[in-house]
Amino acid sequence: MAKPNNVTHEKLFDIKKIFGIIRKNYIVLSRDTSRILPALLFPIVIMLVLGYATGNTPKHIPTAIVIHDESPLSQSIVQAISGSQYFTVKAEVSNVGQARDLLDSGKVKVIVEVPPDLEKNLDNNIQSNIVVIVDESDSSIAQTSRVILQSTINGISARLSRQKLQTYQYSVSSSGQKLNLYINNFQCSPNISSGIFPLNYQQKNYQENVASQLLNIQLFSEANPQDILQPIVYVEKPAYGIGKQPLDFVLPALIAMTLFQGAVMGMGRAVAGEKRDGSLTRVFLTPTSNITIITGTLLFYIIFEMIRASFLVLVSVILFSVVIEGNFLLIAFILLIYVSIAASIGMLISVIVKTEAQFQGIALLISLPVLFLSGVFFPVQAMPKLLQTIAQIITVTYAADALRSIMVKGLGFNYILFDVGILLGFLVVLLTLVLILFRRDI
Amino acid sequence: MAENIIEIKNLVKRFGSFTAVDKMNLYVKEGEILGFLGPNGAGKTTTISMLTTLINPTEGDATIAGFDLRKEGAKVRSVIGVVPQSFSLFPELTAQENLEYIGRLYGLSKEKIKQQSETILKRVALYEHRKRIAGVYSGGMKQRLSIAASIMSNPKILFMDEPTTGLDPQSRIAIRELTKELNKQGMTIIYTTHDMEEAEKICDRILIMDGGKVIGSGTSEELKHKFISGFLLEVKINQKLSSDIINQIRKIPHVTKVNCEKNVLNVYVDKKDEVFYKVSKLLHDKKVIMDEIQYKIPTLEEVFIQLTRKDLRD
Repeated sequence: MAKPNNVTHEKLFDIKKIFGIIRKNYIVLSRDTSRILPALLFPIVIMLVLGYATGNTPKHIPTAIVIHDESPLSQSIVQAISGSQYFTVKAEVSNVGQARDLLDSGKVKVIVEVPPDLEKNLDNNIQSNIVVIVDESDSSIAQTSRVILQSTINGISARLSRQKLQTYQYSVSSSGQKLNLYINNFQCSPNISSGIFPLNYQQKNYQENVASQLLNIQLFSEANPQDILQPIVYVEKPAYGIGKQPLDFVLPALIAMTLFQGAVMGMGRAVAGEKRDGSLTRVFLTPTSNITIITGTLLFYIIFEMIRASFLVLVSVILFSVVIEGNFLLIAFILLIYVSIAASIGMLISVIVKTEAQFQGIALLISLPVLFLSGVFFPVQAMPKLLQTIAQIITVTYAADALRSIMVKGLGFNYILFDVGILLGFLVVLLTLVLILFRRDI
Repeated sequence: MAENIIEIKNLVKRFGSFTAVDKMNLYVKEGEILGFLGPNGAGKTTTISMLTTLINPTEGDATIAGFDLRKEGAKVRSVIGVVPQSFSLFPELTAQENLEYIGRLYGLSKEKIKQQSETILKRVALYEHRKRIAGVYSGGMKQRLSIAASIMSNPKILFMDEPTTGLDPQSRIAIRELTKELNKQGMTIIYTTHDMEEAEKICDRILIMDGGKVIGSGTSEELKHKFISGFLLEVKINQKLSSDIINQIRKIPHVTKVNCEKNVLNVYVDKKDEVFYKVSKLLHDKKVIMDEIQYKIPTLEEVFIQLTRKDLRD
């Protein structure tokens, strides 16, 4: 049989054909703009999110100060904290209970308790403790607060100590001078307390002066040197669960991330995938309403993700001895709303897109920034204002907040009412959109 | 006389400025097999999609088994079965599971599903393979399973969109027989195909569509008589004919056109009237050996080409 014209023999490595294959793939990709856009945008969004959302130290951390007196020293401490760019003093309260409520409700992340009699203790060379309570469930905030407050308090303490020592130094030297003067003036044994000699006004004045300086010296010598060197001490009390390990704080974030990804991506297979292989058409041809199809599909993924969450919790409790503070039913309730939202987001994307590839592109483009901006991994306070505003819109933020409140802080339902309200509202909006946009046209 | 089970009045479907179906009017009699023919892009699948409630018509009305297509979509879906062009089942499920799922979506009871799926699987010769996942089935098996799923609800009307395309002859024959069988039981069938022979074999009535409109309808005989005028006398010979002989044939009364390609002589006549005798006598006299001489029956394909022209469609 004749060889067809110009057909080359098969080569192991054919550059021309390789270019042909590259060109074909380029054409295929360039025809599908819905794939190009996410592919190009994705790294940019991630750069923006990671660059801005995570690179900064948290600033304006909401703080409550418990203050028991109006002394200038206490006020100077309040000013040192409120003057710092790292803290925003949301409340000055007079008892710890009030501050604790603010911490539990998430309105403040740090409590600084200025002890009573601070100034009096300083005068008496008694060390005082400034107690700091930090919400460790936000690890980055906790770390920043810890470092900044510790250095602020140590700075104040060092300044006070220096002043004390300068006073001591002055007392020692001035009492020595006065004593010399006293001795020279009266040319007698410096038995100042004997009172043998009648003293005139000047002599009396000298005597009192020396006595006061000596008393000062005596007080100093009797005091614990540590109390003078460090008149104020930074003391930190854990806000939630003594002896918690890092995994305890990470678990809510881990669950939030896993479930979000799982539910969104699962929906891609369920709707976009079935659109692709035509099996959804078969369902559309039966007398089955849109609501039934949506509910059935959503419910499966919600149940599946709930089982996954339970498994995750079980493994972390059994294998990693993670301590979960809150009520399990409450945790399950929040997870249920959260997973429903994630699944609805997945459903919404899959009813909008035409192919599974488009779904994956858009889902990735949406879900990763959502996770990063939700405060699950990095505190919202560390982000620039614009990203903080976006984080306020992203509902996962509220879910992560509620989960942390229950799992780490062990708080009750009344503390998460606001979060739950926002989440339910968002779920309703999402489901409505899904219902409106769900089309049987294939 | 059978009632109209489907009635379509001025049905229109536009996609932007493109009109896929243009003021279509048609009826389907209860119990008939209606063949739906047309070149690619004629609007067949769009029409089927509208009639099966997958897409909404832009204009016009239709009733399916008495239900208003626009207002009673769910009711329409409960009386129809559809065998889509592509497989459209769940490749991860076994044949049995696929049928059970579809049965459930039709709201059948557990017992009914069990009994129905067993009967149907036997009927489409998949009972032995019911526990294998559908994804590994051959093309023919998949199509039989697709038909099985479509008749789970025992529908009044069955839409079959090119059910034999790409299948081997055995599978095609099996599907045609199954279609006839279902029809015998009273199911009305709308059968889309590109295979004219198939349409002639199984359809009671044929409808030819092009450019979004119905351009011809009737039984295959009616279509042939309506659209092919005259007859063709085909003579197979073992030699080339001289132009003199061809000219003599042209002069025979009622002969309208003559051509001779290779060893086949085609004589077109408007009336049979002794042409057969006269042509054969002339050739005999001229000592031309004839292998075969016969009037050729016009095919549906000729009708189709006549109506839709030969140009390729986009």
